[in-house]
Amino acid sequence: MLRRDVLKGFAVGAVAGMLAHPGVVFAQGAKTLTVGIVSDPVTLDPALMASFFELSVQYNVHEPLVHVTPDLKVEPGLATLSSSDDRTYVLTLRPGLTFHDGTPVDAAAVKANFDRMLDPATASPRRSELGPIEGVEATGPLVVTIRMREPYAPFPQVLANRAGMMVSPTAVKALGADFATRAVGAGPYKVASWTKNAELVLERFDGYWRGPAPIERVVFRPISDETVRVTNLRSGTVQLVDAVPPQAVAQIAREGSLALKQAPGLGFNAFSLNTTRPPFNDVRVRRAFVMAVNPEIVQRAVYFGTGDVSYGPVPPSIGWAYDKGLRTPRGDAAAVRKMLADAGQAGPVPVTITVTNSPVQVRTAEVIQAQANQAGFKVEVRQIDPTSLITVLRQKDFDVCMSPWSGRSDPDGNMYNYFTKSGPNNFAGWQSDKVDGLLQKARATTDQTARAGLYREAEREIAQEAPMLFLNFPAILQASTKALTWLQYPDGAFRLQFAKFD
Amino acid sequence: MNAPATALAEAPVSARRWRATLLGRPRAAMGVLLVGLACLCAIAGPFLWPLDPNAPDFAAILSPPGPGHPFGTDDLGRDVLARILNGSSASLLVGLVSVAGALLAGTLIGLVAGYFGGWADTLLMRMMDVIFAFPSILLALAITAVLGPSLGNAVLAIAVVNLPVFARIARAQTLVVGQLDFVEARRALGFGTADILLRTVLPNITAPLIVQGSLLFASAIITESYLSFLGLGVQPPTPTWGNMLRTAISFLDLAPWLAWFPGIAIFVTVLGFNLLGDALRDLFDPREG
Amino acid sequence: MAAYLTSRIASLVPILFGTSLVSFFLIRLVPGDPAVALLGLEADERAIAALRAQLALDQPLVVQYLTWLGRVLSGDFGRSVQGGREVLPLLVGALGPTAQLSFAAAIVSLVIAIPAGIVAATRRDTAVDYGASFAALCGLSMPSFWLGILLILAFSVHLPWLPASGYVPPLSDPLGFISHLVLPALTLGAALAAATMRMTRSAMLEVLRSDYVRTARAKGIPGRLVVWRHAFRNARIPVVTLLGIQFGQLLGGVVITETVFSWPGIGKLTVDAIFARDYAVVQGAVLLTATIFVLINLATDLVYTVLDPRVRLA
Repeated sequence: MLRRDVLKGFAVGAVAGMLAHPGVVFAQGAKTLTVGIVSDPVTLDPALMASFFELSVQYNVHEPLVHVTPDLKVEPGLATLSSSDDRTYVLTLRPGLTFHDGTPVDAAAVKANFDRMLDPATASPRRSELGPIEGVEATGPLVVTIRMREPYAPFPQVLANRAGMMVSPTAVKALGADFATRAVGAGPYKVASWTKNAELVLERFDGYWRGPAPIERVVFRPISDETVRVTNLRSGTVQLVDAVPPQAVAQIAREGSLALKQAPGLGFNAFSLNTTRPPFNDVRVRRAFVMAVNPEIVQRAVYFGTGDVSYGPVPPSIGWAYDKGLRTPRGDAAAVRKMLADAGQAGPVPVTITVTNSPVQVRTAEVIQAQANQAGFKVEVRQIDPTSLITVLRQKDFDVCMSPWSGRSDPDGNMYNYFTKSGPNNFAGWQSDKVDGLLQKARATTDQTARAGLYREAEREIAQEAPMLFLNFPAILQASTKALTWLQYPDGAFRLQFAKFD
Repeated sequence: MNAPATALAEAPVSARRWRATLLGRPRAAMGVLLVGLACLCAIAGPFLWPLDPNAPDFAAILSPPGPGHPFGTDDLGRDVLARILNGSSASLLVGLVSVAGALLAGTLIGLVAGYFGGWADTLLMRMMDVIFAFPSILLALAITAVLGPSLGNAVLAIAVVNLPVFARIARAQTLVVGQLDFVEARRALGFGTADILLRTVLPNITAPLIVQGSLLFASAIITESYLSFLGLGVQPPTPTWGNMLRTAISFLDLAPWLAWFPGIAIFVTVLGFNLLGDALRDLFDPREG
Repeated sequence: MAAYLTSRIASLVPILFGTSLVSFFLIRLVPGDPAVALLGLEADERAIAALRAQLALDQPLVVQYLTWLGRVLSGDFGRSVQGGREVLPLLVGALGPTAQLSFAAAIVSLVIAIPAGIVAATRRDTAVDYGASFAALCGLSMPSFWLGILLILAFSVHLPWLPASGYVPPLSDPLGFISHLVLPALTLGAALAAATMRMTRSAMLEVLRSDYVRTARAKGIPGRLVVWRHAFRNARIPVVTLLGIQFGQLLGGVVITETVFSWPGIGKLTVDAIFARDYAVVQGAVLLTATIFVLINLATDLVYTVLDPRVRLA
C-alpha cells in the first residue's frame, strides 16, 4: 500500500513539474530564437546547395561578398564591388575580417572559393551562375579582380547570392566530406550542432563584420507540415516561421500575439507544357490550354487572395522590369473549345498534370483540372515525389508539369535558364531563336532601361507561344511572435543578424 | 457467404445460429447494420445524392453546412456529402480488395507451407518473415513509389503488407487440422492432394482468417490515409475518406466540418467491421452456444 | 536453452539477407537516382554522370550489392548522399528517439489498455464494456496525423501546457524530454492501446470461461483474486504476442507521428531517404529495423517461458 502511495505521489509531482515546466521550455530567454522551417537543409556548403530548403538558413551562416537590400539594391558586404569597364570587376575586401575558424578573409581565400566553384570536379551549380568568367586574380592582399569574356549584367546580384558566399578554405581542406554538415563561413552565426531532422543550432559569431548579432543562439527546426508549423508558432514553441500557408494568413492576423509579414516574392508558380510531343507540340493547343485556366481563380482558390496573378516570368517585385500590361484573355471556355476545334482536336484532349505532394501544388493542379475539363480537355492529376519530379522533367515524360521557381533578384535569373534553347530549366523543350537572342542580348547589356525593354519583348513572345502556364507570383508569407523585430526579404531568406527581441 | 463451408466440420454452424448470432445480439446486429450502411453508400451513393463530387464551385469555397450543401463544401467548393458518398466506394474498395487479396494469397501460401512442410514450408515462410520484418508503412511506400500512385497500386501495396499475417495464421491452422483423424481418413481413402487441401483442410481453417480479415479492414483504410498523407494514395480528384481527411488538416481553423465528416465515416465503418469481426469470432467459437 | 538461442539467432541470417536483398532492389526500382536527387534540376548531364561514377552507380547491380554487403559485414555502412553524413551514426542517432517514443507509446498503451480490457471482459455487455470498446474503436479509426494535430491544438494552443513539437535528449534535460514526449506518445499509443485492449478483452473472456476459473470461483475464491491471480496470468500470452508484433512494427510505423511532431526518429529518416533515393541510408535503416524486429520477436518468445513454465523452447 505504502509503495503505491509513493508512486502516486511521484506521478502527481511529475505531472505538476511538467505543467510548470513549459514556461521554462518556451521562453529560453531573449537569447535564443527558434525558427520553424519547411525542411532540413541538404547541405550547408554554398558551393553545393541545390534545393529550396537551404534558403532559410544560408545567409545566417554565410556572408556574401555583396549584400542586397530588401528593395534589391546592391550594397557592400564583405567587399566593395566596382567595375572599371563592362568586363572587369574589382572586389576590395574589408580589412581584418576572418571566417568562423579564424582563417583570414583575404584575396587568397576569395580566389580559392572561386577556383573551387569553377572547378568542374566540384560539380557546383554555381559554375553556370557565375557566367562567362575568364579569370580570377588576387591583385592585392585584399583585392580580387575578375575578368569576363563578355559583359554579364546579372553578376553583382549573383555575388549577393549563393555564388558570393565565401567559406573558409582551411576548413574545406580539413573537414573533407564533413564540411557539408559543419560549414565554416563568415556569416553572423556559426554552426554549433546539427542533428538531422531535429535542430540546427547556430551560435553568434563575434567577428561578424557588422558586429555581433543581437540574438545569441538561433535554432532552426524542420516542421514539414504547413498546419503543424503554424500551430507551433501559435503555441510559442517556435517564435518565427517560414512559409505560412495562405489559408492561415487571416487567422494569424487575428491573433494579438502574432505578427504576419508579407512581401511580393521574386519567384513564380508556373507549369511547363511539354512542347516536344502531342498534344502540346501544337502551339494552338498550348494557347487553348493556357486560355482555359484563369490565374485569378487560382489566386482566390489556392492563394486565398495573397500574391499577384502572373502572366509571365518577371514579378512586380522587380519593379524596373515588370510589365504591367502583359495580360492575355483567360477563362473563356467557349473560346477554348473553338480553338481546339480549329486545331483539329475532336473530343476532349487528354492531358496529365504532374505535381508533387505539396498541398499548394495539389490544389493548384485540381483547380487547373477543373477549369480545363470545362473547356474541352480531359485532365488527370499525377502526384509524385520530388526526386521523381526531377527525373520526369529532365526526361520530358509529362504533358503539364509544375515548375515553380524561387526567383532571383535579376530578371535574367527568372528567364535565362527557362527560355534559352539549352537552358537547364527549359523543361518545355521550347526552342525560339527570337527569345534566345533577346535573352543573350539582355545579359550583355548594362543599361537598365534597355534591358527592361528586351525582357518585355521576350515576355510578350513567350505569352504568344505559351510554352508555360503562368499562374501566380506567390507572396513571401512569414510570421513571428510580436516580440520579435526582424527584416523580411523578397527572396524569403532569413537574415537574422537584423533580428532582435524587444 | 456460404455458411456451412466456413465452419468446423465437427461443429457445423447452422443457419439458425448465423441468424441468432448476427442479428440476435445488439453488438453484432449493429455491426451488420453499419457495414450494410457503408456498402449501401458505396453502391447507391450517386443515386441518393445527385451532386457531382468532383464539380468545383469557386464562388462557394469552404461554405459551412447548410441548405444545398448539408455537409458544406471543401477548398474547391465541391459538395462534401457527395464526396463522402463517392469516397465510400474507393475507401471500401481499398479495404475490401486489399484484405481479400491478402487473405486469398496468404491462405494459399499458409496452406501449402503447412500441409507439405519441408523445403516448401521453409522457403515460403522465410519469404513471409522477410515481408513481416519490413516496416509496413515503408514497404507500402516503396511499392507505391515504384509503381506510381493510384488506387490499384495502393490496394496492391496494402495487400502485400498484410500477406504474412494471413499466411502465418493459415499455416498454424493447417498444421493442427492436417493431423486430425478425418483428414487422415480422407488420405487413406485415396483422395487427391488438391481435393484434401481445398475441400477438407480449407473449410476448417477459414474461421480465424475471416475474423482477422474483418479486423485488418480498419487498418487498410487508415493505411490508405497515410499513403495519401505522403502523397502516394488515391489520386485527385477521386475522393477517399483518407485523402479528404488529409486535405481537411490544412483547414482545421477555417472549415472544421471538412475533418468531421470523413472522420465520422471512417469511424462508423471501422466500428461496423470490428463488431462484425467480433460476432464472427463468437460464431465460430464452438464453446459459444 | 543455449542451443535454442543459437538456432534462433542463426535463423536471423536468412531473414536479414532477404530484407537486405529486397530493400536493395526495391529502392533501385523507384525512378530517379541519388545523383539526380542531389544535384537537382539545374545540373547538367556531365555533372550527374560524374557523381554517378563517384558513387559507383554505373557498376552492375550485382557488383553494387556485393560491394555494399561486404562493407556492411566489415561495419562500414557508407555515407549519406545528402549532406555526406556517415550512415551508421546517423541511424543510431535516429534510433534512440524512435525507441524512446515507441517505448513510451507501449507504456501508454499498457497503462490504459490492459486494465480497460480486463474490466471490459469481467463486466461483459455492461456500459463499462461498451464504453471501453467504443473508446478503443475511436483509437483504431483515427489516423495518427489527425489525432496528433488535434492533440497539439488542444494541449499546446488552447491549453498551453506542452510544447507542440520537437525533441530534447533525455540526459541533457529530463523534464524537457518528458514534456516533449507526452503528445507524440499519446498519439502513437492510442492505436496501440486500442488493439491491445481488444486483445486483452477477448483473451480474458476466453480464460474466464475456462474450467479452472469456474473451479476457482466454485471454491469461493473472491472475484478480484480470480481475475488477477488466475485469469489474467493466462491471458498474458496472446497479449504479449500482440505487443511484441506491434512494438516491432512501431519502429517502422512511427513515421507519421514523427513527421507531425518533428521527432527526429528513424521512420522519418527512412522515408526522407526513400524520397531522396539515399540508397545507403535506406538499406542501412531497413537492415537495422528488421534486426530489431526479429530480436523483439525472439524476446517475446523468451517472455513466454517466464510467463508460462509449460511453454517449452523447442
